[in-house]
Amino acid sequence: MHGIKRTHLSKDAKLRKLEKDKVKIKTYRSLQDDVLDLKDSLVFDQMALDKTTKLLDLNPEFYTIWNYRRDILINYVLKDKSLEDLKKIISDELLFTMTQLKKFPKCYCIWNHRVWMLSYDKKISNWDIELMTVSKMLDLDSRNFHGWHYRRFIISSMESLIDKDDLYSLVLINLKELSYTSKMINRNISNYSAWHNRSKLVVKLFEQLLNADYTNILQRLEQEKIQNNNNNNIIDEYINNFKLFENLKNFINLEIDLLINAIFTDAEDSSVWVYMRWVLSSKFFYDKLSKDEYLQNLNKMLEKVEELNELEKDDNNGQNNPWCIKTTTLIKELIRKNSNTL
Amino acid sequence: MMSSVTEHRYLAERRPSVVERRLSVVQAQAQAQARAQVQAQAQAQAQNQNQNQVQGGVIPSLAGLEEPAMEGTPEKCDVVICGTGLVESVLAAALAWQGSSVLHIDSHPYYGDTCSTLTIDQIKAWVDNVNQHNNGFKGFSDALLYIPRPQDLNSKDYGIDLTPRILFAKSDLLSLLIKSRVYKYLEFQPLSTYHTYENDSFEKLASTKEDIFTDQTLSLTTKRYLMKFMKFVFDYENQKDQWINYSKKPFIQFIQEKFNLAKPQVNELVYSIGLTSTPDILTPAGLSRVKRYLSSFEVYGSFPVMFSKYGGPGEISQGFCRSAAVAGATYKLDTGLVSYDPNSKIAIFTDGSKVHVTEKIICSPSQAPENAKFVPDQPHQITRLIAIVKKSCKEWMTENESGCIIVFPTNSLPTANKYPVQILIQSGGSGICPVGQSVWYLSTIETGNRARKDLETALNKLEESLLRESEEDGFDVSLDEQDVFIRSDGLPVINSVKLGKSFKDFIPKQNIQCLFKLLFTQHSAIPPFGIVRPKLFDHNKKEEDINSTLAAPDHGVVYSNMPSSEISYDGIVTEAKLLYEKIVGDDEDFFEVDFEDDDDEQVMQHPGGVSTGDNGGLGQIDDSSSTAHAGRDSSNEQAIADDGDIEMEFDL
Repeated sequence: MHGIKRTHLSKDAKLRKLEKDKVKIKTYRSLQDDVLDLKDSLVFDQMALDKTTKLLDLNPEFYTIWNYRRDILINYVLKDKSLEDLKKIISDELLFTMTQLKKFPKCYCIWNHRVWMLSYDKKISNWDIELMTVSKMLDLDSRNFHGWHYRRFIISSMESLIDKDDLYSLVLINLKELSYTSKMINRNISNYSAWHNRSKLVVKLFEQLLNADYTNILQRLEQEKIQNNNNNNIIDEYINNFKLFENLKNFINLEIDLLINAIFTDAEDSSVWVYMRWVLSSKFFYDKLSKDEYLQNLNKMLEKVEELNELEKDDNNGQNNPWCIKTTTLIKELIRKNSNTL
Repeated sequence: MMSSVTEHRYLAERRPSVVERRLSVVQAQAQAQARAQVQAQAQAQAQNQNQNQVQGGVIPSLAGLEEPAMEGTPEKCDVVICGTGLVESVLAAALAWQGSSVLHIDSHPYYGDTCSTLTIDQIKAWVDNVNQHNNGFKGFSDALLYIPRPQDLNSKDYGIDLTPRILFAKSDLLSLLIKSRVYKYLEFQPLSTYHTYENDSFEKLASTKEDIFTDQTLSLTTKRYLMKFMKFVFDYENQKDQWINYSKKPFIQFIQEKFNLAKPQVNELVYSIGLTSTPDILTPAGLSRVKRYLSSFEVYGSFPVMFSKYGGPGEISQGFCRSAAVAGATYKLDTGLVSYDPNSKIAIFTDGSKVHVTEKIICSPSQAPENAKFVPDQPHQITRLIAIVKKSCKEWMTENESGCIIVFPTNSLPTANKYPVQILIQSGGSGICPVGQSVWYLSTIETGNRARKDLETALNKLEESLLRESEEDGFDVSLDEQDVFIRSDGLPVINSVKLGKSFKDFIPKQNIQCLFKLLFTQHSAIPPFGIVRPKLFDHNKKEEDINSTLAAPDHGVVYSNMPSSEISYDGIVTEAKLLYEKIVGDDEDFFEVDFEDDDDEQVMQHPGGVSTGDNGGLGQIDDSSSTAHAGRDSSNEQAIADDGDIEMEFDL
């Protein structure tokens, strides 16, 4: 992954490992048989739950066991419990998945179980803490797409708890998320997941603001700033981000500047080029632009990409940069299409 | 001459040592006192021993190491080392662990010799001694001390380094600190802010991909070439064809011609990132210095260097001395070398005692005996200006950090300075001065009066700049809309060109309170960037020296070096190793000791490096990651994976 090679054991070491693992495999097999038997006999009790914990600890990729665990939770553990008890059970379950995630940060089943547990009753889950938790995970590996996917789940859960008419709160959540995403992109522009999240957020914010009273929200943000004297910086950032969404044309212009900046910083980073392709060809954007405006953007980008490729050629004995060439072709095609259909 | 030393005897005051500051030690001392009162019941003693074994492990805490004089001088030893400077202390520990019997002495009542960490009163005495050319203070000259209001300085609140240094996160000394477990006596703090002085303002360094990407002042092509250069440096050893033609040419020329970078970037790369002390540095040396910085990033966090809390080389020297003592070395402070006779192999000391040396006697040039004849020439100069300022300078530092580096490149001062001025600033958080103050360490390899002028001018520039930045509405420039850019992420940024201009017109309304100023020249045999060559230590070893009829007290003494101009710890381990080789024969078993891991429990708690505590301290250094390469993106991922026990594969 990302240039880090898997370590290959020598034949000798492999044999030794196999020998050592034999005992473990034996315990594992018998535990597995045990749990599968319990599952077939529809046993839902504490003993069965504990056994799934043990088994999943050894092998978190075993989705059948996760399913069985959820059956136990629904039919036994969570059944007829007081609110306090529920909270405790859920937090224990989250703790269990977190210890698992630390060991296997890219295992679908674990993330999935966490999502399921939190969705059990969205009202009693603490979403702010979830957001902080996943931020920590992304600090450790900013390109773990499971984490980014999970963020979107958290945000949509938070949104689902807000009154549909409370546009201000909805917008604010996404502005915060945009700030976070920008921070992560700045930290390392080579991050597909972050750019992807940006594309999602941009569309979402424009759509949310479509029917909103823009000035009203801006005023409330300003008020918020006054009330939060200590934390001005971050609210300033939200306000500045918010202003980007006043005008789509402006937004695209700035987005193009951002992209130019990124490709000149690192011309070999594919994630930026992929995001560029989305900005340049997304229906969401060009549907809202006049043909002239769109062509103007395309030409500006084309000029910069060609300029970059010339520099790249100078440095690399006349060799083109493949991403420049691909993108030039794409832009030329877009220009041709849009110039023809008058 | 001796009398002046004795006069200052009361100055044997010390700030609490590394050891004593540890809570466990403070408690242990209290316990020890309590025990003394009860008076040695056999049982209690047995218990005490047990406790020591349980707590101490390989390296038991050694409170009271500073007063070991009771032991007296042994009759015989393998190696005598005079001077407890850093190189000598590393050497002492290495030899002691290798099994040699070591007698380590110092003519001062404190540890550290040429690189000690001193209180204000100790500095006062030190200045007197230097100016009187007293024994034990050789290698330093022309010290000037200025303390406007002595009543404002509480001596023990300060720990001033004679030779301040910074530690790269990826360096041989750090590896050695970890391997030898000496890091356990120390505390390290991160330093991530480097500034380069340019057009009367301090540019913060754009040294990471993030900085380059988000910087609004760099042009697109500059960004591109900077990134190209950084990528290239990471792998320059494998791209020899790119620079082989420049291996005898200046590094500056290489950067300009091969990477089209302009002066501000060149200055940053050469003087700040590379921390080179001369413009003449050649390409290979320059490349390795830039790489040193880049590969130190992200080893323990997003900072390239660290410094030890409560003082630099002085503290680390003490750490190695402790380690040496644990391995059996004998320590005698306040004891200098009077003479050595290579024929009878007897060394005589200032306290009248003598020892029979079976192997070698090593001596720091600063502690050469009276009338010594064989001290190597020290042709190179480092001039240092140390100021204590009543400002925290937090404007120049990263949040939660207590230090920063500022560099004035060649020809950036009104004095047209030929060599850069390097500055390390440390604030109260680093434990070397009270909170709200800071210590500024300026140095240059320029010589004589020019050096002093350069340093004074740089000091003035720093003061001016600090005033501008800390004044609330300090300058009066009318900014119109054109001066404000909106960054692509929406943040407004003020055009810095206009601000830079206004800085020049700005006249400070107040003065910075300077509480202390010390200026001195230090001499060294090591040229700037010179690699320490084995022959440096050949002085005085030759047969003819031993047989010469010249009356001298230092026949057969091997001299170590005065500290070099290097601002980092690079070179220290090499020097210690070379001396070690001279004594042992080769350096194969240099610290090749199995330091049992008595307390592994902390080690894996923080995958991916060190935890940064609230105070910005580094806490425990994770042993296992010390060798990890600064693989940027995936190192953490790897760390998580490593944290898991065993990856198991099963046939399901």
